[in-house]
Amino acid sequence: MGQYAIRRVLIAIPTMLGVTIVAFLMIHLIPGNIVQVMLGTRTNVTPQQIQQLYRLYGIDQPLYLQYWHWLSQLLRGNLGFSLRTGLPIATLISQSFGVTAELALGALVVAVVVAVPLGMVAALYQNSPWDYLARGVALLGLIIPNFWLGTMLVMVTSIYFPVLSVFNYVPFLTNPMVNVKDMIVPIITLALSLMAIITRMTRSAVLETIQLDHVRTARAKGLKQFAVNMRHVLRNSLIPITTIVGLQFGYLLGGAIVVENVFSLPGMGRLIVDAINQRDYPVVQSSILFVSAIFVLVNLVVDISYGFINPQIRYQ
Amino acid sequence: MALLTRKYVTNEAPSSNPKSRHRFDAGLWIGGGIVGFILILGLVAPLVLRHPDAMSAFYLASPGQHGFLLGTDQYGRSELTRIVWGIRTSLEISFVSIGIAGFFGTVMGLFAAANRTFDMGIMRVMDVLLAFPAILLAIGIMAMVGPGVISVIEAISVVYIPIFARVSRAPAIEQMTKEYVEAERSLGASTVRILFRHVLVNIWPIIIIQLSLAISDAILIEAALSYLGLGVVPPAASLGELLRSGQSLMFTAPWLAIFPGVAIALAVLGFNVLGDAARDHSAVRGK
Amino acid sequence: MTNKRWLVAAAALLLPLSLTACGSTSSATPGSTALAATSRPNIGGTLTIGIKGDALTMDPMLTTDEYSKSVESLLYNSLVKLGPQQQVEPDLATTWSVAPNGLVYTFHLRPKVSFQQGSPMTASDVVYSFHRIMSPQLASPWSSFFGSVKNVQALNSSTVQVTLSQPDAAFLPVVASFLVIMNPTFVAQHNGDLQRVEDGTGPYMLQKWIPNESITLVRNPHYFVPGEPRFQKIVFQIIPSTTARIAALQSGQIQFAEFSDPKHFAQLEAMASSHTIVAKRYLSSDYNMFGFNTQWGPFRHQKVRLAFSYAINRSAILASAGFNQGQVTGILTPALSRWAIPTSDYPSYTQNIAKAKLLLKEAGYPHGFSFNIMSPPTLPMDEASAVVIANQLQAIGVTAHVVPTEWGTYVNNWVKRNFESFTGLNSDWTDPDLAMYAALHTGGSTNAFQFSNQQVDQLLQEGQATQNFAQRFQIYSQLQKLVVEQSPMLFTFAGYDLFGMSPTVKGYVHVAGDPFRTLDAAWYAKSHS
Repeated sequence: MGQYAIRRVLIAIPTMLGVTIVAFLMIHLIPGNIVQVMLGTRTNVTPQQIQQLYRLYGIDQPLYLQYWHWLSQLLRGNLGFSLRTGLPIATLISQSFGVTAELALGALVVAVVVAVPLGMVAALYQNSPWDYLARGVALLGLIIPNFWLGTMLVMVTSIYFPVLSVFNYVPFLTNPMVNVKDMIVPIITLALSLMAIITRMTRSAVLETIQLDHVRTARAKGLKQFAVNMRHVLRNSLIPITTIVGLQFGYLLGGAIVVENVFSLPGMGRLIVDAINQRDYPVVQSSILFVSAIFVLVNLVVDISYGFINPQIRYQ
Repeated sequence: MALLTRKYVTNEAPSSNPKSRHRFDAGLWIGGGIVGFILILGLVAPLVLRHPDAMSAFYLASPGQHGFLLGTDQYGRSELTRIVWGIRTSLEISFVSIGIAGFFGTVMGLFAAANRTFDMGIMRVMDVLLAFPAILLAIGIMAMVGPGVISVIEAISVVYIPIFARVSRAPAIEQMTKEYVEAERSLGASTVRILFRHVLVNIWPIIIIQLSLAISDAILIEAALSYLGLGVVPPAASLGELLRSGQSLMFTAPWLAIFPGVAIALAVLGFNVLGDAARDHSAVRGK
Repeated sequence: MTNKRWLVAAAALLLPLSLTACGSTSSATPGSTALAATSRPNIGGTLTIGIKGDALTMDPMLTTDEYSKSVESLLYNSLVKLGPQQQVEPDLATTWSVAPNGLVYTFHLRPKVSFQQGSPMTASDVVYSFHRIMSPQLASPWSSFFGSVKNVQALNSSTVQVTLSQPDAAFLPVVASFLVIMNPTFVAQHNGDLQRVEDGTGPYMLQKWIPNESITLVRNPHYFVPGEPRFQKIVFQIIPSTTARIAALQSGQIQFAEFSDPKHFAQLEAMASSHTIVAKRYLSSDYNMFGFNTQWGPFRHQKVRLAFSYAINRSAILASAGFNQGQVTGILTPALSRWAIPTSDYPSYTQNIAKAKLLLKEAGYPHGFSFNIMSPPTLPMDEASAVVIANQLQAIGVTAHVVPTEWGTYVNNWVKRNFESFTGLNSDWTDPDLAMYAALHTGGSTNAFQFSNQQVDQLLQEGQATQNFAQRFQIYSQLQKLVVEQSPMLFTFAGYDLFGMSPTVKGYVHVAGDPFRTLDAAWYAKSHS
């Protein structure tokens, strides 16, 4: 087992190296550069001045050297500095990732809290109104694009709940009340699709469990006994649910990037897209690397722990 | 949203209640019906409607006004026409990109199953691509190649190649251990022949199902990219682009924000129901 | 005092009179107490401004983005400033004189002005500031505007003399728009890095800057204008989404915001008509345009370009791309009210398809041709203009393909002159010379059109060398007509900027191109926490 974990971790190393190369090339192959974008089309600058600015930003060097500088700093644990603002990228990421993580975690909590009971009730009372509700949620979550849902929620809240329609991020530690008020709509927006998946998973996992012999027996003996055995049902169903939650969390990060954009929240998505637009190379590279690292890490943890639960997976 | 959450055909068990057999067919019929309706809309309707860029003097007419069923946009263009053309663009993008990804991904997966060295090499590259959240990878590619229909196709293909590679690789490996492969080999069949004449035929249903689900995801990715302003750009119409331009006008002309979203949801619904039903169907058949 | 300030002051004097007339009734509404307070500008309160993006730097000499500029305009002063009609007004210099040959400018500084951290502001600081913005080490993007400056010296502690190498009629507007006076000791203390610190002479001081969240300025108690500024604090709250900014304005979370996207004006004006907010529209000194590459194919022919000018319908472009929120314009927008001539003076501004077709035929393109328009999605109005123009050109048999191009790529193409035509936004700045010289002179740095015309060059040089207003006006009137006839670009419209503010904000005077600086003289009608 330990061997499996070690192998997975070792494989992740060349993967991350590949990610640095892709992230670096991605931004450097885009036409235009930071100086051009900074000056725009309305300033009055001589070619000599432009050369000077290129030197100032270190973009007159060959690409492999620029890559090597970045990589060698990374290995020393230094994410670098923004060319545009001079701020340490670690600071920028810690601020922005806070927003993204809050959104993703919040959505995860909301989704689990709603979907697990809903899925269970739906499975236990098949074809009841609860079941139809659960299946409705599962279907809607799957087909409604979250950015459209966000837009519709902005429209509805601005008419009926104007208080909720201001999305102006205030960090939780600065003002928890305002933070929760402003994040609630974005979190619901992001949660819906996950809710759909978890509801589906829970429903089918519980359905499967209650077909098991001992549960059937318990059910036949009477509902009271059955209630006691719900513990087993729940426990048995929790394994696939936990797995799917783990697997989805990585993808929630991606979803958060889009939802941030809908509500103009200052998260990783905005950090990266703004930096791409301004050709702030080190910020783009380091932030993309950071998000990918988190993504790979979460998947790794899920894979390894899943390997513990289900030994079969190790040999695939 | 599905594109960011589901990446593989999940191992979710088909619902196992006794009435389910009946519902599978309903799913096929409903899904097939919606997909058929959308295909007809995308392929045929544009031929009878006006050009999507045709402008009128009725700026931002509301639905029903001046004979525009779904109203007009800021240029006085019919929203109905734009949406129908948008469906066409979105379908083009999804079919072509998933077709490309399905082809290259499956070929890679098959060869990876047959050759250990190739497997190691190509799967490391796929790992790198899978190390990015799909939308982030697509954003990066779009930034690199610039906006436009072709670029969206490129981005979605790159995102989906590793997924098809993985989806086809695992069952292909399983097939390669089967006795008939050994038998073929002893008869002197080449690896390529075995892969494409036998292995592919056996794993084909899995790929078909993944294709149907991937198309609904591709519709969503296209919409997300265009919504972010990175994908299809005006004056061309795609569902995501219509949503982007509609969203900024949502307080003045809410219909421009509402209808394109409904169209997206409908298209995704069709392909999803169809894909799911096909999966359940084949799972039952396989038993 | 400007006309608008006069009006405000007069209104402030009249209001208490009208109130005493009805003051006998005991049931005073809350509104009336607010009105009573307007009698005198009072000091205090926090003005929260909703701003679309975070500032990038606090160093005005290195600033290229509007958000940084908005904040900096309250931190620093220059020698002179521009008023609402682009007239030059005293700032740190109370008086100045220009030698008859137009080469020597002498500035007399305001006495007893201190930097915010306490050291006195003297002539040597002014000399230092000129040297800093012109220094190659700093590589300020604005340094070339000071290319005509030959020498700057302090005659005594309160007099500065600037010598130019050639007459430059735009020199004072340049000083007003791009120079700020800095404290050399403070700059040295920070090794020249002013990205996140400041020590200006302005009405407000930087107190706290939380990146991507807010920038807090606090009142400078030693500001040189007596009684100003009035707000105790000004907070720039970063709210990127326009809808969120509108909601924040409505709920009173912010009290001031600038909106430049006309899509939202209808909503804001509806709010204004129900007295939730006050909405004021001002014409921008930026104009939307369609630029030709005058070295490319058919566009080498002046007649083809003029044909386009006849073929397009500018009011339709304004209606559709600009939501009718603006005015049709020539190269100088009506915001430069002293200089702009009426658009009725341009014959090609009346759409005439027959004439356009005739011109195309004369140029040798009777059956039209096809070409690309590069358009920037970052500027929605210009992206939309391209779509409308392409549609309108169909009438003369010309096929235009709109190619929306991401901003960085767009700029790259623009720098390399790698396009057939493009739509974009150009600025008039604050003076006709700044508006035209770099854009139209042969080889000018923003002359992406690669336009070259001897007569235009000649007039541009004359305009630069002439001091007298009436004479300059003659030259630039002639130029405006000539430029439309030559059409290196088609000017379409200048948009409005809409300023939404709380009804309690009083005394705001708008200056085109520098809208936040004048907040130093605004105040709250009733006390605000």
